[in-house]
Amino acid sequence: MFKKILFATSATKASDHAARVAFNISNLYNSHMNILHILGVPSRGFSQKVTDVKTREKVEVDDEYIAWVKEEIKTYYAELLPKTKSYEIKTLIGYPHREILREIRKNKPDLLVMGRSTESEGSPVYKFGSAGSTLQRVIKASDCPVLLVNRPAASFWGSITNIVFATDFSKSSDVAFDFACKLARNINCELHIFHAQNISLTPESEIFDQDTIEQRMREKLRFFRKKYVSKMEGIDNYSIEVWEGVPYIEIVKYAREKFADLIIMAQDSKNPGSTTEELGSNIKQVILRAGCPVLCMTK
Amino acid sequence: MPEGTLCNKKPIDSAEALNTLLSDTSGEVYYREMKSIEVDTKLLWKTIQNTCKSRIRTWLEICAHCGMCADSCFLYLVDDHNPKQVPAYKIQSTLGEIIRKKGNVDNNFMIKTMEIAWSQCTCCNRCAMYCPHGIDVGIMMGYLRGLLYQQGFVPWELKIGAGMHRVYRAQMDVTNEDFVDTFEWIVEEYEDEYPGLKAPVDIQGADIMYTVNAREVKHYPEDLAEAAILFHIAGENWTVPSKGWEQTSLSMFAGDWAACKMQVETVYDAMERLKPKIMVGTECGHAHRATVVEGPYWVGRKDGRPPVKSIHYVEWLADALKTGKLKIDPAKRLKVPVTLQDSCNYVRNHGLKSATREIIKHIVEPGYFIEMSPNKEHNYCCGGGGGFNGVGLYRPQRNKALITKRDQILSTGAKLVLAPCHNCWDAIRDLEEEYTIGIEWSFLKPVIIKMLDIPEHLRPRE
Amino acid sequence: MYEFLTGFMFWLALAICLIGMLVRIIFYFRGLSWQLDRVAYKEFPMSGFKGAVNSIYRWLIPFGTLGWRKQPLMTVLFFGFHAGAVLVPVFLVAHNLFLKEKLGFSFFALNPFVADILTWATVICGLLIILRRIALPKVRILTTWYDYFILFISLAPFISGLIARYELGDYSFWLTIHILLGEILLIAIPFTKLSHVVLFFASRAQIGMDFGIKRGGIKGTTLNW
Repeated sequence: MFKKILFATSATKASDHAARVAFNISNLYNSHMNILHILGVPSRGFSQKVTDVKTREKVEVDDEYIAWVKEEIKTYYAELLPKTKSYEIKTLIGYPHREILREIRKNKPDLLVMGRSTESEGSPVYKFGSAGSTLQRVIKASDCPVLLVNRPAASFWGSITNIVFATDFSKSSDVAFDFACKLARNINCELHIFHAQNISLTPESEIFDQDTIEQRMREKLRFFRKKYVSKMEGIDNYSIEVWEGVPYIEIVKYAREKFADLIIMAQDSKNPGSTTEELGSNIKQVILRAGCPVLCMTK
Repeated sequence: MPEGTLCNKKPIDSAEALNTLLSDTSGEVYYREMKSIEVDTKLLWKTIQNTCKSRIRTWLEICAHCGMCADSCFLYLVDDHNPKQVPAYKIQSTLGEIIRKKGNVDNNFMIKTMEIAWSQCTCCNRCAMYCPHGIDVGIMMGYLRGLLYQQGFVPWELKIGAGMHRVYRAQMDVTNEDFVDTFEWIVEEYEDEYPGLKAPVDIQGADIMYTVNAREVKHYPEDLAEAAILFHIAGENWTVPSKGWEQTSLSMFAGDWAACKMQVETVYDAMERLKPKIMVGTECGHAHRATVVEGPYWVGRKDGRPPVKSIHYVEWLADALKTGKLKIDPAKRLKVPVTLQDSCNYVRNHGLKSATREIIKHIVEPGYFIEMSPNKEHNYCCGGGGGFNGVGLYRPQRNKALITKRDQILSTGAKLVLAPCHNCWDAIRDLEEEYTIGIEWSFLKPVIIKMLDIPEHLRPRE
Repeated sequence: MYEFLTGFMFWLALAICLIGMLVRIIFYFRGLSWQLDRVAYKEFPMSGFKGAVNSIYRWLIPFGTLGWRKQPLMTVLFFGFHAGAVLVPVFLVAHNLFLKEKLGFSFFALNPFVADILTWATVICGLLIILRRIALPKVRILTTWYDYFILFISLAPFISGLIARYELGDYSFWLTIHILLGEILLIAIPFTKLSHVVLFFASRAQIGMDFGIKRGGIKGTTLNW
């Protein structure tokens, strides 16, 4: 299932929780791990100068420098490295999102693991016009599932026993569903299918009356069974639920209740979130709040 | 030492030589060797006799030493009115001196001259507009750079840049395969959002052949996607060549005229091969200057024009907006104070001042556009033109030079600077990094994509 | 002496000056190269012509270009100097009488009062230009002895002319000196920086063609000098 993992890291605190999860997976599933560090952003037109992500200094990248950076990474992950049987450290120069995507395209990993954005992302070094964050742009275009680990709580992780699949019935949700099923079958765990019906409870709301809400939820649940259950052969332990509320809050609550080890969601490409606010859409709120890693699928 | 191992008169002609030079961090060895290479004075004088004709000689001779060019030069102004930055002085004390001495100059002189040619002039040609005699010091500096390049006195990055063009026919190590692959990949990435989006490579007889800047391919292919999206929505029949896609020319900054010719020939060959109606180049100033304005002369085209009509991206965009091929949703027009950077290379040097302003009319809410002062053909260089942006050796000078643009932007009060030129874009990005004045900067493509009124049939289906 | 200067010397100086200027201008245009200058002069004669005319015309008008407007003091000095320097030698009554006698024709003659003012203006502006050279660092750094020499031989005929005009000292002595200095000036024109008398037009025409043909001219953009 996870033969090749790509772990994209800034080799700073921001990636620590993700690191723990990445090495854990590698340990559990015997995966080969590609540690990718985008060491600098090209600067100054065509010059050879690069702004180092960690030190924020302008450096000239040569073999010596790369070797030094690799050594730094090894030291940084000294405790975790023994967990993986085979790994490789790679450093690249470029805008992080683009180089991560390029790497995915080139090496086709089964999973990409990433932490949260680093603080330095707001600096002009990274700014490319008025686009969004690295995270957002990677999720949007990644061909492989992206596992995001934001909170420390999300990183204390054994094996996967409970998966929450949160759907919004979009096309990309179907892809995420297929992946969730495949994963559940493969590692023989429980699958919880969940939908949160988006309602905002103000007296002016179109749907305010609880009867109508529950009526709708029953309809959704029926639709659910028809849509998904037929495709769930071989998965014995599952549950299906529809709750009402603010979707991301409900998803996080539900995951907590089910002791989920993993939330699987789709990035709705039609609603990628506002580009000015870094974390706007549902999925990003879930990533920020969840107590377990979140796996995003787009394609 | 007549020639160094890294610093010498021989242009870079192979990937190995390129890598060897690249591995010399910051050009340390390169610059050290430069201090002891010999000047081939005979060759220098012979070249001057063959190529320095009445125009430049007359300029040097009749220059009245009146100093009226001084205030036209932003580098003079920003360097606290340092008299050594007066354009006439810069050229008289370098090229003028070489000619007066009939080429008999030494290593030390050439190193000083190199510094003047690349760190005290961005070849913005603004002084030509302020000299009563019409003397264009920018052109002479360009000529001087050619002489310096021939003698091996050229900044490290530019020796590499020219080498890239010689080896890869692109300013970076991007091969033709890399280009096509990246182009197809990035278009794929946007397919879902723009159904029917295509990556048309090598289509014969298309209306438009699009050419790019290798940096877009290497570092921000989003730009390629954005170009594809805009052509797609405008309903254009367009293509990119699999060979001859690189429009830029660092060799022009380096003064490597032979490499300039090699580079631009690939683009012209693509034109001959694909026979498009027109060529459109990306939002780059020097690329346009190299391929459209100067290129025809390098390859010896008597009419001074490329094989097919070639226009800058802003011309295409202005026309697409004017004719309604692209429609802007008026509600989404820019409602922040916006200003516009006029690129020397296609505004002063190719008269495109009205195209960009036509675009502004469509995309900025009336009342939110503030002109810089001075502007249009009188605008100052961004501070990083002519290769200045990329040369590490002259970084402090370049950073100081950015102050002109910074103050120009500050006095407009704009929050967003539209910079349809790679060099200007870079310089403005760098000035924000250096001086943090709280501005955004952007090419036109991403800004326009966000405010497009996309026809029903081109929108993604629910 | 006077005879020699107004006779053989006059003809010689005039011939050297006129033929010299002609040669300079011919060599200038013959030396233009479409490929080296990267301007397709011959392919677009109309655009080139328009550009050249625009470029010359705008710069001949005081304050006609942004360059002039940006430096009003220099503009006043420049035109103050050149108005007299161009008009007085050709249109002064005395010069025209001399011409009539020598060549059998004369030009329109300036009102003597105007001519006086122009001459004074030339001399005063010339001196102020010298002062400017000394005072401003940006001009001082460019200035060589050659520049002072040129200014000297340009101003000398005017100063000596004024002395003769007001009959200070020995009139015929100063007149002779004036004629001598004038002839030196004529001879110097083709061989020195003073060749800008014609090469100004050539150089301005060239840059005008450059902008008119290559740098936007055939795009239909007129450069706003």
